[in-house]
Amino acid sequence: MNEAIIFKIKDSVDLFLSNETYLMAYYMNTRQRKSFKVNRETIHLLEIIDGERNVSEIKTIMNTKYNVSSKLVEKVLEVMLINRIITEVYNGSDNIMSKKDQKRYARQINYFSEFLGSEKEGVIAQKKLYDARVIIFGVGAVGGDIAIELAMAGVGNIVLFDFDEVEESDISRHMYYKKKYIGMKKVEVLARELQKINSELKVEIICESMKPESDVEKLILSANFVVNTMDEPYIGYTSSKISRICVKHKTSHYIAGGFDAHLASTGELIIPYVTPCVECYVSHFKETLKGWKPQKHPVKTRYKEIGGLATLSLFSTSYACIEIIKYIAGLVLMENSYKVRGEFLFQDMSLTYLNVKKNSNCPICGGVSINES
Amino acid sequence: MNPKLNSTVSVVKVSEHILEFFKTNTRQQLHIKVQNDLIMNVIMELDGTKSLETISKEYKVDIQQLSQLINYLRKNGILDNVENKDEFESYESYRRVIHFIAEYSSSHEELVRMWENIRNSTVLVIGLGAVGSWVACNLAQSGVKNIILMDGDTVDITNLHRQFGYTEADIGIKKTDVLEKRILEYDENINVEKADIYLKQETLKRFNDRKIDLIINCADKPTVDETSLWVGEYAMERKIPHIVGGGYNLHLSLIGQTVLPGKTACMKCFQKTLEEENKIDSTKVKKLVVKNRKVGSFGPMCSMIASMVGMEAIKVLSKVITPSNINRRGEFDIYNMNIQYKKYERREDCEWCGTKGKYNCS
Repeated sequence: MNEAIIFKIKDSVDLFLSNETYLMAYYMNTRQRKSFKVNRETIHLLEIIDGERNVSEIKTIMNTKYNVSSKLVEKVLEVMLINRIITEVYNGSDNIMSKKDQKRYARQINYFSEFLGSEKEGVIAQKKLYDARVIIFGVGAVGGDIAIELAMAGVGNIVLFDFDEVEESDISRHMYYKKKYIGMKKVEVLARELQKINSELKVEIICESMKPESDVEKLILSANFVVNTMDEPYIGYTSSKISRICVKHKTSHYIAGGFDAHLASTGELIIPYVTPCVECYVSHFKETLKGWKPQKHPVKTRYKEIGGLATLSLFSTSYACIEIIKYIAGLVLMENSYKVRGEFLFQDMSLTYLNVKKNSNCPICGGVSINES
Repeated sequence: MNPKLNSTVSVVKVSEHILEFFKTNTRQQLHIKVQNDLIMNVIMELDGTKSLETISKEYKVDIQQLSQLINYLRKNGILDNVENKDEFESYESYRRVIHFIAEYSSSHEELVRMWENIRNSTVLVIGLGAVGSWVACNLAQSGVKNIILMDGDTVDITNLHRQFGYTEADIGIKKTDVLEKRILEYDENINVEKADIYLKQETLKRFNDRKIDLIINCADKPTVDETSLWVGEYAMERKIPHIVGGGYNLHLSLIGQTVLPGKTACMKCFQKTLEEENKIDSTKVKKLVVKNRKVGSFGPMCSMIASMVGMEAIKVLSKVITPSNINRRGEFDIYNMNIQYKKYERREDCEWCGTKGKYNCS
C-alpha cells in the first residue's frame, strides 16, 4: 500500500456502533446496510481516518498509541476499501483539471464521487462535462433554462439554435428574461447570460429557424449531445428531423419540453438503438391515441391564451438536466437505467411514466441492436 | 361576456354518446353523456363572439337549457373565465400565469380574486441558496409583487454551480443585493425588501408588524429540521402558511411539507411523528462522528425541489387551489427518478396545534 495515500470515510456512509462490538454501515446511496464485528483498535483506526492523514501517519499512530502492527493496519484498511467504507482522497497530481475548477465545482465533484466510488472518478466525471459540446435547438422556457443549468454545472461548449425574439410575456417562463431584453434575439441575450455565469464557457449562436431545407447534419455531427426543445414549426417535426440524424450518427439526444399539452413533461433521453427513438414514440401515440381526435377549437387566438408557469418549465428543465448530466458525466450506466417520458402533475405533484417501448419495427431504429450496428 | 370555450380545453367525441373535455394544462378529463351531436355542435360555437341568444336561435334550443349547460361547463372549468382581460393587472406580462390558474377557477370573479391574491401577497424567502434563489425568482416571474429576501451570506465561486441569479461578477457581494437587482430586472415594479442577516430563533420578530402571506424556509444552518421549527413556531403564532424548502441527503431530495396553520399538520406534528419513527436505542447504538465530512450537492436536484416549492407557493397564495404537500412530505430519488410521498397526520397531542396546543386556533 502506498504510504502517501490519504483515506477518508465515504461521505455517503453513516457509521453506527452497537454495543461497542458491531459496526453498522449504512450506505445512503443504495440504502444498503452491512454489519461488521469490530474490536477497539478498529474503532480507533476509524476515528483517525480524517481525510488529512496519510497511511504512513496513520500507521505511526496505531503503532505507538495502540500497539497495532503496520501489516494489520494495512489489512484492515483493505477490508474497509473493499466494503466501500473508506475511499482515497484525490491529490490532483495528474492535472485532470485546474485547481481553480476543482474548487469551483467541489461540491458537485463530491456529489459525483459518491455515485462513482472515488474522488478521482468524480473529477474525471466533471472533466467530461467540461469537454462536452452540447447543441440546444430552441431556447424558450425549457431550452433556455437547460442552457443555464448546463452552463452552471460546467459544460464547456454550448451551441444555441433559435430564431425568436424575447417578448413581454416571456417573463413568466424564461428564467433568463430581463425586461431590457424585449425585442432582442433570444440566442444573443442568453449567450450573454451564460458567459456571465462562466466566462470560460464557449458559446456559439445560430439565429435561424428550422426549415425543411435546413441542413443541420454537420452541426449535429460536431456535438457529443443534442437537446431539442424547438416547437416551431412544431415539436413533432423538429424532433423527428433531429432524431433521425442523431440515430444515424449514434448521437444521444434529449427531447425536452415544447409540448403544450404536457407542461411538466419530463421529456426523454434517447440513446440510439438502446432507448425508444422519436419514431418509436410517434408509433406509440398513434396506437394509444387511436380514435382520440380533438375537434377544431373554436377560439382563433387560443395560441395566445395557453397557460404556463415558470415553475413547470423549471421542473422539466431540472429533470432533463439530471438525466443529461448523468449520461454525459457517466454517473450511472444509462443503458440500463434510462426512463421513458413521464408527466409531472401540478395538481397533485405526482410523477407517472408512459409505457413506451422500443419498437422493433421502427423505420428509424428498429431491428438493429447497438452491438450489431 | 359571451361564453367562450377555454383555450386549453380540447373537445373530443370519444364514442357515440360520450363527449370528453380534456384540460391540457392539468390533464383533467370530464366526460358527459350526450344523445347526439347537438351539444358538441353548440360547444363548437363558443368562440366568445356569439351571445347565448344567438346560439339558441341558430340551433333552436331552449335558452333556459342552454344556460344550464353553460353554467355546468363554467363550474367545471371548461369555459374561459379570463374575459374581460382588462380586469387583470398586468395581463400582457403575466397572461400565461393567468390562463394557467384559470383552470382552477369557477367564475371570472373568482379568477380575478385569485390573481389579486397572488399579485398583492408578500412572501418571505429565508435562505437564498440552492433552493431559495430559484424560488425567489420563480415567484417574481409568477406575478408576486412583494418579496422579502433574507440571507446574511455573500456570493462565493462555489455557489455558482447550483444557485440561480449569481454570476462571476457578483462574487463577494451580498446575496440579498444581487438577487434584488436580478428580480428588478424581471420587473422593476416588484417591491423587494432585504434582510441581510442569518436566521436565528429570534430574528423573525423583526417582521412582527409586517403583513406576510407565506414564509418559505430554505435555511439549513444549523439544520433544516431546526430552522423549520423556528420558522414553524413563528408562523403558527402569526397564522402564516409556510413551506419547508427541502434539503438533500445525497441521492435523495426532500420535498418539504406545506403547513396551513390550524388546518393541517404543523412542523411540531411532523417532528413528533418523525422522532417516534426514527427512535433508536441511544444507550446501545452511537453514531461515529466523521471528521471533515463534506456534503455534495447537485444543481438540477436543487432546482427540481425549488420548482415544486414554487408550485406549492402559487397554490397557497391563490387561496383557492389546495396545496398538495399538506400532511405529507416526499422524497425524490435520483437513481430511479421516482417520487415517494409519506403521510403525516395532525396530532391531538401536539404542543402547538393539538387540543391543548398553545397555537390552537379552534
